[in-house]
Amino acid sequence: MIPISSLIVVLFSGFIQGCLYALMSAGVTFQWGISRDLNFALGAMATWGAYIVWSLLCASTFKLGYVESILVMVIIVFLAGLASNYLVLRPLRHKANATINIFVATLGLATFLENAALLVFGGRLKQLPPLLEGTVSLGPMYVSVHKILIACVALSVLVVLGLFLNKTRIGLATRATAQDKEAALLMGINVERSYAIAVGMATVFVGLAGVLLGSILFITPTMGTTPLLKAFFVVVLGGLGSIKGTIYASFVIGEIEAIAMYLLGIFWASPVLFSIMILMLLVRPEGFYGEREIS
Amino acid sequence: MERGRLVKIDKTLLSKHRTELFIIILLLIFPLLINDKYMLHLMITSFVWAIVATNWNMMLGYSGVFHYAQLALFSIGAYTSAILSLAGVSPWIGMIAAGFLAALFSIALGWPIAKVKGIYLVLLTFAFHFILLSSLFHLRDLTGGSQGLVNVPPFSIGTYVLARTEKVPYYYLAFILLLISTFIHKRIVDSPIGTALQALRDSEKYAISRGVNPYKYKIAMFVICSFLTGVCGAFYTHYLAHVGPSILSFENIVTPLAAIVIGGMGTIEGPIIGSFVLIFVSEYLRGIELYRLVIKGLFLIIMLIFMPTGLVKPLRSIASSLSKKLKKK
Repeated sequence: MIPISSLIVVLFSGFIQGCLYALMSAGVTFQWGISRDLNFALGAMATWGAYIVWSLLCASTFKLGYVESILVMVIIVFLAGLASNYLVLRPLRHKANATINIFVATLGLATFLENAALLVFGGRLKQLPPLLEGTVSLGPMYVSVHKILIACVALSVLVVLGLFLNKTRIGLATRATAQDKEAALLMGINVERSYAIAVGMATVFVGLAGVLLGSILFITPTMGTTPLLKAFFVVVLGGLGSIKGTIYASFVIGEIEAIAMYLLGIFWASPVLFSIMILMLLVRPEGFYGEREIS
Repeated sequence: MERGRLVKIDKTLLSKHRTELFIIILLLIFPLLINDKYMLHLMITSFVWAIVATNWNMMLGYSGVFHYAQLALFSIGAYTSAILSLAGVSPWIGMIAAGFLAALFSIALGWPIAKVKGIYLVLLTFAFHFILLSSLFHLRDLTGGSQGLVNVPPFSIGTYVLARTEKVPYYYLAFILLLISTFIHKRIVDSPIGTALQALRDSEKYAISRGVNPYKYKIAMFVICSFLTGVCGAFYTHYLAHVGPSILSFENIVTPLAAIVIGGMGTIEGPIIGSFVLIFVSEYLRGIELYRLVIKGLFLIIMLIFMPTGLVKPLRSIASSLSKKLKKK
């Protein structure tokens, strides 16, 4: 089988992937859990997050530091998420055939955003510099500090999300909306605001995921598609709408993908995940932690 | 007595479908009126996308089943027929085989329909689309990799080869395919199956409580639509002589989707009208190639928000008022 030293390397790379997937799919599942819309534009939003940071960091005019550019990006992307909520999602949410209209509209939004990125930034590959240079030795392997930092950033963002949902008033209101919309309305919670926050925060998550991806891989106008696809694998496994399940599932998917890549080659990773997805849908459609809906 | 009745029925049929018959006749004599190859090419392209869009719409709009696999099924049809005909099989047989293979895939994909809620099917088919795309690049021996398959032979009748430079036979072939597909849709919609599907779409729980099997009809519909899509894909390859992974591009996903939305979701004629509008308008926008998809995406959203019923509603009212005026005269 796999020698133990390479096993550790493989597991570590799976862990890093899992962190990125967790950010990405936390966005998808968070938005679905609260406002019940499946947002296909999130992939393009990740692309834009990466491009915004790139243009603040590397393009000639601004030359901001990493932390500042990420903060500016978070603000811009949050506003973009709010805009997409108020301009696109909200007018469709309460009409007939909301689910399908939102599915189609977010695909339209994704088309718009991806091609706008192509127009503005061009199709040439871009890459963000690593957050920090250097490597450290962790047991038998050498790991770049950059990757450890990625894991730290992703995990701390998820912790912040958990604190937000459990400790703040707005977070509690958002959770109440997710659990029962009518009851939340009766308690005087502004449901529309919860929806807006959900979309905005989901967009921020995928934006951050885009930045972290852009520092490992390349930034292209279509870079958001594959992470979005992986996020879909993750939410099916973890249960759409369950943040806890999604975070566990991201690490499971990350590790499975890393092992499949090591054993079978890079092409076969996706088919393996796809088979797991189908199996999951047939055996336990609501995922490990999803709520079982009575129909 | 009997005879008079028959004539009467025929007359009502004629008056009921006057607009449809008029359009069919117009499209039949179109190549005689305008024998411009470029124009005919645009018409053929519109027919093809109309078939893709209507078959997708039968699932999205009529059955309320959202899936992303339409282009995947289209490309399965295209590749099947291309591979078979390059191996020496007649394109006609290839076309049927393409339909059957697409239907087979749809059964495999539709199998989870029975188990899962609608939204998971979107995730599943979205994943299927991208795995198919990466397989097209990876399985180089079968699919030709990123180059795709070139020199796919054209259709032939006996020894007479329908040359692609002659657009007219392909025009009629595409038109017949669209007619058959629309006829099948119309028959399904008017049949009890259509009623059952609409009932399921509008209120699934109530329909189930009245004894409608929710899976049987949806899967049957999915298989039929996939068959027609696969056949259409095969036709498109033989017409273009080439098929490559770009068939699964984002633009190709957006085109039929926008056609459905522009024309009117959940109607039979809507997506057909939508494809014609879309193909001709985007041909007009050829000069600003880069902005085309940006405009399409934006247009899709604006249509959904401000005109969710599509162009069909105003067009229908125009048609009915026109026919009333004709009756008065």
